[in-house]
Amino acid sequence: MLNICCRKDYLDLLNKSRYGLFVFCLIVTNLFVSGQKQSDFTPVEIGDKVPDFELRNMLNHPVGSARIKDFQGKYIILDFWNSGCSSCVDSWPRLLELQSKYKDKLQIILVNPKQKNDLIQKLFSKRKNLTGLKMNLASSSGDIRLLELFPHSGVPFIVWISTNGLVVGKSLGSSVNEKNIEDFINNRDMKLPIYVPFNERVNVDFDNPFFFFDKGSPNDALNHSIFKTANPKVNPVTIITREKDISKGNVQATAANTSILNMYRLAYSQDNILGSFRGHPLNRTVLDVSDKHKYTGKNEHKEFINEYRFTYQFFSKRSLTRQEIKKEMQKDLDRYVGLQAGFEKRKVPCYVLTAIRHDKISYEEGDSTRKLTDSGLELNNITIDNFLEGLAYHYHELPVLDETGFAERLGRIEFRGNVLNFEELNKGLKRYGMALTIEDREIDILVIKEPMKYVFRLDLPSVKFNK
Amino acid sequence: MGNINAKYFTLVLLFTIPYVGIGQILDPVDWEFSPVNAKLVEIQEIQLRIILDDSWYIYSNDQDPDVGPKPTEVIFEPHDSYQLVGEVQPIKVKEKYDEVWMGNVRYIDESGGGFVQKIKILKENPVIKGTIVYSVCSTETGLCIFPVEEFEIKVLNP
Repeated sequence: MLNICCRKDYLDLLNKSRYGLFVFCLIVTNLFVSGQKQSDFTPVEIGDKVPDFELRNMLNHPVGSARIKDFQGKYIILDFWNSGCSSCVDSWPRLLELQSKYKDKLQIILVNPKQKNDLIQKLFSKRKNLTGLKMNLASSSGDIRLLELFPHSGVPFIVWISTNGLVVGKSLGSSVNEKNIEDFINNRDMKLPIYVPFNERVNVDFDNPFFFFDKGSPNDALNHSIFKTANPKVNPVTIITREKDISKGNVQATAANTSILNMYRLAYSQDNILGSFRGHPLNRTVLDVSDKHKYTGKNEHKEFINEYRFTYQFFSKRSLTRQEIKKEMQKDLDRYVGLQAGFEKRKVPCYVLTAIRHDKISYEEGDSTRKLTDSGLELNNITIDNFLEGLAYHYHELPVLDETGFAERLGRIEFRGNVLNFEELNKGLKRYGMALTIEDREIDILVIKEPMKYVFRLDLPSVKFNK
Repeated sequence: MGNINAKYFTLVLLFTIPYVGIGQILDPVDWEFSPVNAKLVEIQEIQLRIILDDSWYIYSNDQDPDVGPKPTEVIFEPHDSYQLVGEVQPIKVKEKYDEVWMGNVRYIDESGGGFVQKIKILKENPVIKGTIVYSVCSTETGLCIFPVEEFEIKVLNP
């Protein structure tokens, strides 16, 4: 579905008429003119030595082309990026800071295989005008063969090349930080999160519960649940079997390759809570623990910590309702993770919708309309719950509560303005006697906390995965 | 903003709200394309609905390219069996000031949305195909992916 595999990208470009000739020429150039063999662009894996490839269309470099060996003696970071990638551009001040701090030992090189220098130079000067940032890192562009050499499914994508020309790591952009660079330039193990491109990921096989057993599922199992370390190759998924599949005897709760927090959100999901989207809403969940990173699966750099991502699966041949499956999962999680979770009444700030009068807004006639956009609001023939569902999409920072007391169908509410903006929304609502305010209310909050006496150690043994 | 078809909106709700917590999204993005009615002579709508995983977003097709991010491109292949009526309109687009780009970005996120194109069928057995070129990024990891989605609209002959 996603064209993220580089070779597919290559073919896609070839298929598109406007790029076809260009790509064809590149291939011809690649094969015949420069005498490069195709094998020179086979993917470089971690532990491999990088071939002597050319970095073309260099900027901020004495000459127009460079090779890794030109930076001899330095540790190399190849930063694959694209002008449409916000976090790539956002990382530039940090990259420049790190480059200047480690200038004797480190060379960061920006690599943009799909875009050209005129666009890149335009962006460099635009950033200078906007933020004063002078991007002077060595930069290479416009050579899609580098996608074959270093396949990846998105940017930023980082390749770490040691002084001996060996690739010692591949990672997301967030791993370019002082801690990892210190390890990198001192030849220590960087402990990078395992990088798996999307095209190498596998999906959970729901017909084969306990997919993580190498030899398949135990087909005589009647009830079983398992909690294990996450396999980064498995696509993350959180799912409770749908009602229609339960009748077919497929009773499962699966939370693959995800954080403890997301597992609890799935186990406590309720269909009638506003803003429940793939689990109990975050705005009604409190993680009351000493080290949140362990349970959110990310560190302070937002780097995914593989050790803090897990897989849980529950399977039963009993006929259970969705609610009963969730109950089993709740009990399992507390037991396996060593936390205590449950709903507690807590006073928290909420978005509260109130109304003074409502004679003008009862439904009279016409089709059902619910429009909440940046250009206006339009409601007709809806219930108050329909309206609140829409509100909860956009106003998701806090729980949304209804205190209007409206039971009848509403209609004839219409005004212009950016209703995604709190003030503008209220300006319009006022005309209909309604208001959205932020107030403290006592509501059910999912509280996940550590028991006082028993603390489970999450520093589990690290598990190695084959490439 | 384009005019949102109320029925479609209800349909979106039907599909998102009751399946809370059980949506199985294996890639960050999935597309759904509404079928067209081959017998209908009036103008009808094609909905190109995007389902994004938690924390992922795409840029709208009306994103100002001068700000920075590339707008989504929805390209319909011309065919003599149908004609486009008006332009592709985004559904449920959100707008915010983006501190990185120092300008406003228009985007569609995990709460749903997509695009809608009005068309008119001209001949029997219409062939409606196209391509969506877009970028999809994660607020969680900062990762951006640049997929190309090729689609063919299903034709119903009631």
